[in-house]
Order: sequence, then C-alpha cells, then structure tokens
Amino acid sequence: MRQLLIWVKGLLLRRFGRVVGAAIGVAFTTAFIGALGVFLSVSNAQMTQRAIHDVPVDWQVQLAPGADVSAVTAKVQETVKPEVLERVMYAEVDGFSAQTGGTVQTTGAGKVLGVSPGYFTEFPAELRRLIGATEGVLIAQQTSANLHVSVGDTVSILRVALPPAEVKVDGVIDLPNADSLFQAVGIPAGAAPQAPPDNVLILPDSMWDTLFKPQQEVRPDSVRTQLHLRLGQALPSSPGAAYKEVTAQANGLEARIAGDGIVGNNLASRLLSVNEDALYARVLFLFLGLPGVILVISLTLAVAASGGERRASDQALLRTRGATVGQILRLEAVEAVITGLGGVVLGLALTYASSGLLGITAREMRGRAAVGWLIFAACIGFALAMGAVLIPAWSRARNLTVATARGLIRPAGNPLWKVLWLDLIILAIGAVEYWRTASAGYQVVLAPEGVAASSVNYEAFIAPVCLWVGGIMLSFRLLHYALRHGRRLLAGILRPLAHSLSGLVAAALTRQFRLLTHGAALVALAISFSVSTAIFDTTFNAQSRVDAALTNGADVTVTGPTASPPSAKIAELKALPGVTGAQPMQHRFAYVGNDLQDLYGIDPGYIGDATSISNAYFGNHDARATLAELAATSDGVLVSEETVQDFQLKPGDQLNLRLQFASDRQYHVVPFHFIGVVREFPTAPTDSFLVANASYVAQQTGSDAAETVLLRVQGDPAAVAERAKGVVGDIPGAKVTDLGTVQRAISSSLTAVDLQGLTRLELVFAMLMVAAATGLVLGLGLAERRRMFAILTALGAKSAQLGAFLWGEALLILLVGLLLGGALGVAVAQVLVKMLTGIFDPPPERLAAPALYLVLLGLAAVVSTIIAVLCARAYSRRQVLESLRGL
Amino acid sequence: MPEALVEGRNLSRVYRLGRAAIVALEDATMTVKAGDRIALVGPSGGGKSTLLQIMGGLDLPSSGEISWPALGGRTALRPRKIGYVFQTQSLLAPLSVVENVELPLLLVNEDERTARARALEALGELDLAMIAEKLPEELSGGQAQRVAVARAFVGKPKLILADEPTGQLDHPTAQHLFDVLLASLNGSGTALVVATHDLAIAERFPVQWHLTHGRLEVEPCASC
Repeated sequence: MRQLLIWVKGLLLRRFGRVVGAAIGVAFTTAFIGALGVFLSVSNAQMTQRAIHDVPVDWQVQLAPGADVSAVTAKVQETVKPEVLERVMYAEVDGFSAQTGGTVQTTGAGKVLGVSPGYFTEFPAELRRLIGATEGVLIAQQTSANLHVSVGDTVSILRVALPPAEVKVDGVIDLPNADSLFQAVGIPAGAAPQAPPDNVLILPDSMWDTLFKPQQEVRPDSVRTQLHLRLGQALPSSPGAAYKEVTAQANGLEARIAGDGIVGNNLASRLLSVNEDALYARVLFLFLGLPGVILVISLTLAVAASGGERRASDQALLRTRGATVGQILRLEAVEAVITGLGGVVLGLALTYASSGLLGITAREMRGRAAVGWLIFAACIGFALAMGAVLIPAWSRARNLTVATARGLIRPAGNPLWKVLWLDLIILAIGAVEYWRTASAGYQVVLAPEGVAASSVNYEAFIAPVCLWVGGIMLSFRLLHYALRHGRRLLAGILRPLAHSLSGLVAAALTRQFRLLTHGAALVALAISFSVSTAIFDTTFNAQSRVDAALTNGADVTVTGPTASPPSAKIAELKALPGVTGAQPMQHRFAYVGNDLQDLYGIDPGYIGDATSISNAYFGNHDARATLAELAATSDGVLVSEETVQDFQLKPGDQLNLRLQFASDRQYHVVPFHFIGVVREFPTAPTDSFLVANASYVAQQTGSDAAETVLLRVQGDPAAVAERAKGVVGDIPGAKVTDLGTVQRAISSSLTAVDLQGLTRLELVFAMLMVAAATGLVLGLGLAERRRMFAILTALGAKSAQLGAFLWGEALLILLVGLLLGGALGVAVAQVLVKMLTGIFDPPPERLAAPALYLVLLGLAAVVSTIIAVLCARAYSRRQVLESLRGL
Repeated sequence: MPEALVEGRNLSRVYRLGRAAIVALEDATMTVKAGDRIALVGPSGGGKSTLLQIMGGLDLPSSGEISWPALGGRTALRPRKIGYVFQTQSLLAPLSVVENVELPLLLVNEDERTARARALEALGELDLAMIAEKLPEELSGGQAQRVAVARAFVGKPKLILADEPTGQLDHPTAQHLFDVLLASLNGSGTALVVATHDLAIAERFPVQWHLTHGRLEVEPCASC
C-alpha cells in the first residue's frame, strides 16, 4: 500500500503533464460520445413528441355497416380511455350544384361529412378557415371554386337515390389533412383509390342526420361512421418503441370489437415514418460522430504513448530491482485509474456544459435514454484510459528484456499493411461499395414495400469508412515516399528558414519520417474530420433551408384569395424594412383533361429576385435556360413529368388547358405550348402542377390578380412576416408565413430535425481536436526530443537555428496535415452528401463550404502550431542543463 | 606566456531542490591557458560536470566570477571557441556521422561544401572516414565517442571540455580514444580539460585538478 502511495505521489509530482494530458483526452472522448448520444436520444424523443403532436387524428376507427355505434363507442372508451372521442359520419353523394350569376354549375361525385359542433376545436389541424365561419355548413375551397359559391350562397346536395337537398354555406375552408381524413380504412394500399374527393361539404351532425339518415336506409353502402380519437397517452421516447406500443394497442382494440370496426392508425403510420427519420439520425450520428470518436481516441492514445520512453525507463528500473510483471502492472493500473476517473469526471462535466450548445435542457439530460448514454460514454472513457496505459505496459513487461526496455530499440522496416498494399486494397473496396450504393440509388435507410419496418443499410457505411481509412493510409505511404526521396527538394524549401542548416534539417526530418507521418496523419485526420463535418453540416442546413424555402416559396410568403389578392399590396410589401425583393405569383387551377392541377403564373425574368430557383427544379437541370425559354415563349408552359407521360407530350406540342375566366367565372380552353418539365417549384405540391407566364394567364383569363407574393428578406424572416401581416391585415383570407416557421413545421423529413445544436457541438469539438492534434501532438513530440534540442543548444545553436529544426518539423506536419486533411475532408463530405441523398428534397447541387469556419479552423491549426513550437523552444532552452546531466 | 582562456575566482554553484540546498561547487578558483592539458579528477557527484558547464558557459555560478579573457563574451563561446564532449552518446540520432561532425561549422554559417570537407578531414584524422555515412545507432560506443571528439575539434576551438568522455567505455577503448584525442591536439594551441574518475587516464595529463565535494584543489604543474 505504501509503495502504491509513493508511486501515486511520484506520478502526480513528476509525471503530472502526462497524466493530465491523457486525462484530458479521456475527458474529450467521454464528453464527445456522451454529448452525441444524449443529442441522439433527445432528438429521437423530440421527433416522437412532434410526430404525436402533428397527427391530426390519432385513430380513425371505421365501424362496420350495421355495427351498434353506441356499443362500440363504449367499448373503445373502456379499452383505450382516449382523451377525445368524436363520431364522424361520411356520406357519398352524386355531386353538388349551385346557381350563380345566371348559370348552374354541377360537380362530380363528392362526400358530405357530419361532425359535432366541437369537432374542429378538438381536432384543429383538420381545418383551415378561409372565409366565413368555422361552424355550420362548411364547403371545401376546391368545391366552392368549382361551384362559384361563397359564404351565403346556396348549394344543392345531389343525394344518392333521394331528391337533392339545399343548404346555405356558412364558411369556406381548406382541409389540410384530407388524405388521412378520407383514407380508406382497412383496405390495403393500392387496392382502392386513396385520393381524397375533390368535392366536400361538412355539415353539423344534427343536419347530417336529418339529410342522410334517409339515404342510409335506402343505400346503406353509401354511408359510414368513424370514431376519431386522440389517445393522449405517454408513449416511449423512441419512435420505434412508440410505434410498437401504439400498434399493439390498436390490435388489442380490434380484437375487442371483433368484426365491428377497423382501426385506421394514423399515429402508428406517422411514427413509422418518423422511425425512418430516426434511423437516418442514427446514420448521421454514425457518419459524423464515429470519425470524431476514432479521432479523439487516437489523440488520447498518442498523448498516452508520448510518455512511452519514460514509462519504459521507469519499468526497466522496477524490473532491475526485481519487480514482477504483476507488480508493474498494478502500479501502471494506478496511473490508468487516476487518468480514467479524472477524465471521466471531467468528461461528464463537459457533457453537461455542452448541453447548452446542443439546445438540450437539464430535464432532458436526466431522461432515461440520455443517462444511459452518459453511463456508456463514461465506460468507454474509463476503458480507454485503462487500455491506453495498461496494454502497452503489459506488452512491454512481457515482451521486452530489461536492456531493450532501457534502450528502446524501435523495430525497423515497413509495417505489414504497407507490404500488403492494404491502403490501396481498402480504397478499392471503398470504391466498389460506393459504386454499389450509388447504383442502388443511395438507399441508406431501407423501407421495403409492404413491410411495416425500416432498417439501416449498414453496408452503405463501408464506402466512406474505407475512403477515410484508406485515404489516411495512402497519405502515410505517399508522405513516407516523399520524405525518403525528396530530401533535396525539402532542403530547398527550408533554405529561407534554416539557411546553411537547411540540408541538415531536411536530413533530420526525412530520417524521422515515422514520427512525422504519425503526427501529420493525426493532423490530417483531425482536419479531414473537421472539414467534412463542417461542409456536411453546412450543406445539410442549407438544404434544410432550401427544403423549407421550397415549401414556403420564399423567406416570407403572403397568400390570399383571387377576389382580394395580396398583389394589390405589393408596393407596400416591397417597401417594408428588410425586404430586398418582392415578386407576385399567380396561383390558379387548370384542368388538364379531367385532372385539376395547380397553375403558377410567374414573371420568369424576375421570379429569381424573390426566391431561389434551383437547377434541380427542372427536367433539364438548367434553371436559367428554362426560365429564359419560358420568357421567350409567351404561351409556354412547364408541366410535371407525370403529365408529360400521361399525355405523351413533346417540346413544342400544344396543350389545351381549361382556366377560369374572370368575366363569367366559367372554365374555358386556353392554348399553351409545352416547353419543358418542372419537378419542383416554390409553394407547389409534390405531385402534378403547371408553371406559365403570368402575363399570358392574365391576358387570357382577364385577371392579373396574383394570389401569392414572394418576399426575399435580409435579416430575420419572422420579423418581416410580422410587418407583412400588418400590411395585409385588411385582406380577408390573407396569410403570411415565414421560412423559420415552415422549417420547424416540416416534420416529415429529417431535415426538420434541428441539427444546429449538433452542428455547433461538432464544430467546437472539431476545432478543439484540430488544435489538440497540431498543438498537443506536436508539442509532446517535440518534448520527447528535448534531448536532441539540448545537444543542439549545448553545441552552440542559436535560438533561430534551434527554431529552424522546430519550425521545419512543425510546418511540414501542419502543411501536410492541412493539404491531405483538407482534400480528404472534401472527398468524405462529397461521399456523405451523396450517400445521404435520401434525406434531401431536392438533393443539393453542390457542397456548401462554411468559408469563415474553415478559415478559423486553419487559423486554429496555425496558432496552436505556433504556440507548440514556441513552448517547445522555451522548454528546450530552459531544460537544457537538466537534459545535459543525462549526456 | 600563454594567454588565459578561462579565469574563475571563488566560483560556487548551489542547486535548490525544494527546501534543500545542494552545494555542487564551493569557492573554486582556477585558470586555463592556451595549450593546457588538464585532468579534472574526483569521485562521482563531486562537481566535475558543474565546473565544466560553468567553464563552457552552459551554466552560471551562484557566486564568484568567471571570464574568458582570450575568448570573448559568454554568448559567443560555442561552438567556435569551445568544443564540448559529453559523458554519454551525444550524437544527434537523425543525422549521419559526417552530418553530426559538420554541424558545429554550419552553426557558425560555414559554407556547406567547406563544412563537409572539413568534417571528412576531421573524421579521417580519427580513422573514422569509413563510417562517415552511418547513423549513430549503427556505431559502437567507442566509435560514437570518437565521432563526438571529432565534432568537438572540427571547428578548431581554443578549448575543448570533455566531461567523462570514456565513462561508458571499457579500459582499452578509453585509452585508445585518448590516444587519438591527444594525438590530434598535439602541436595545436588548443587547451584540453577532461573530467574523469579514471586515474589511469588522469595520469596521462600533466596537470590534475582534484574536485571533492565541490572543493577544487589545483595541483601545481611542476614542468610549467
């Protein structure tokens, strides 16, 4: 025991730097893994919470024809104990008709829903008010447009097998979640039409009962009843576990009401899709986090190994005095435990401190999954400390004789991987895997058809990992070769720095290639990690913004009805502080055959002033050329791929669309010419739509109203949106949305996950790692060679001459590290973006480089190198006598 | 009358180790003149290295005065005016033998070609030309110390200080090293001060200084 205490005291007094250095490495490892893990678990929980919150109706229990509604309702109440339960009735009708302006408009088949007065209060996401009330007789926007009716007009419901019934419209609404509201419950995908009806009317349940009970009696198949539920239960934080629990509950209910109803499990569907996003998050975690973990572990091992010579010497002394391998290992274990405990405690403290960077609250940090990650990180940190100290000690104690331990004769010759050309083999494997993944469409997260589960295709990781590892190994080989054969060139480069000593400095550097390549490889690893992370994160965030901008249309978007368009206020909107560009955009509807599609009328010459038009939006991947052609063809129209195939269109073909004219509010044929394919467009839906010249649409329809105004903003879009609301406040039905709000609202895509916290954490860690790799490794390496610098000093080398040796080595490591690391970082980022194409919509056209961060990264590397060299120089000069005593 | 190269009066050197003070050198007075051959003898830990370091300008005395009348200021002593040979292997591992030897010349901005020629010449004088391109790790202990000697006198210094240069060598090798060293300096005005605890070697020097527990006793030279 006394022996141990003496050893501990000696360690802390004489080897403090080594212990602290290794403990800091362990702390970084623990903090990095802990912070990433906590972020992953918290973001999973957030995704689950958001998914639950965003589902408009958790369950739609469709009752079987003839089922006793009250009995089933009671059973559901008893089994599930839902927070909200509402009865919704659906009736199919032959259509609707209305007489306006002396003409009669009639629609095709539609649906009439009966809901309780409180339904939309309980399920507010199902309805968006456009004009009038949100209670009473409500008509869907599309139906009101088809019938040319508005609030106060009368609509005839063409009931099935019964005379028409007339109702008076109280409000015009939009049904944002019509897909799920009108889903075919219990019917496999593809077995029945899934598209929501074009014509919908919603009645108070009492009125519905009056009008459709008779229809139910004559045509029971045309009427059905659903129970809409909000469960309101606490679910597991992981989307996968939550999905399993909700599915099991639904199965349990179906078993209880056997034959009387089927559960349309919207919540499970949403959780399944979020689970896919969670898997992408895991992929991101592995892609971005794992290299960082490997790097920080390598740095820790490098720091621990920097004391190898002294440890070997200490060990040799102990063995000379008769210590056994077991006794030596016990003493080494003391150092490992001190390093491990100190590092883990510091690491956990760093994790808590970095929670602010991640945007994680203290409560979230105490969550079960987060605590699990912290324990895991602590275990890894402790194991690293034990491994870094004990394994080399054990190896030395078993394999070396006392004499060799004292002399530390290093093995000569090439390592096995070099002899076997493992670097090129790994790179070739990476290239083949990359090609395989690319040819499979970069499917990293697999969601097979018909299987209610997703999984990560871990094989996709092989390519970037191989590229990273093989690239570093190849860099080793090339640097080794260059150092062995490029001494003259190196001497020439060093001449301005080392003058007459340049030849000797070059000779010393080339003969220390092993040390240099290790140092340069670590710096290259750190730089490549930082560069790839920074570029990927920036591209990810930029693309997330593009995704949101595509959905919102622009930084700020103002929409309103045709009757009172926001374009009337464009001058005032353009004059708002912060607005740098404003463009009107028509949003009409046009029939392509029998298919009603959204039509966007733009000014192709100026639309780019207010929103970003990406090349990826168009079939020819050339936004500039496409818009120029549209501008040159007044009756030109861009159509979706699907429409091109349906109508066998070729460029130049005439396409007759039916547009609503302002004069009689009737649809008339307007000839267009097909000029190209459009895939995406600001504010446009993901399926079919059309883009044409606004001037032509205005001329043909007799209305130049633009239902949308797009605003480009400098500064905070939310603040500009608030100002815009003030401008269009008096326009009925006008709505203002901003990019940030939309970005937060798009929860179906992983790009909606707030990676800003993770980005901040990674960039800070990356910066620290670059500083550590350049400064710490270089500093420790130079300190290891203090004997050489002491001899130089004793021989009379002046400060500048000593500096030539130090600077020569430092600059070589720094430059090689920056060049190789930078190139490798860009390549890895490119591969990452390609591999993760699935999370981007649209995919990025090019990598986004964070110039300022990269400059700061380079500066951090340079500054830490300068500090390391200055410290090593001062240390060498100060310790010269101590070192000379050993000479 | 030969010029005085080093003059030290009442030199003391005290090292502080925590609260303890270790006196390595106490009130030493000495003079080294051009052409002197001095053996500094005494037991290990007696202060020999400390005195040599102070004489070489590598360390400063805690008290007393040291000067180099014929050599100039302390900052310009090495490598041109004083050559140093260390106790253990002191060659720079990443440099070859000839590069190690030419190093002191390059440190004073000697032309690279001239430095190489003079280094090869010095190695030739010590019968080391055959190993000029070898690395220090490929040399025997005796060869390494001979190379260190070559490095010490390649710049033709006025004073060579050798701190137990044969401390890790066997007796015949040590004797051979001194044969070479003394022969090389024969006829030159270079002074040589060698610290050693080997009396057989010390006897080859006309002057012996005894240093015990930091106290220096200068044995007068009968023939001087």
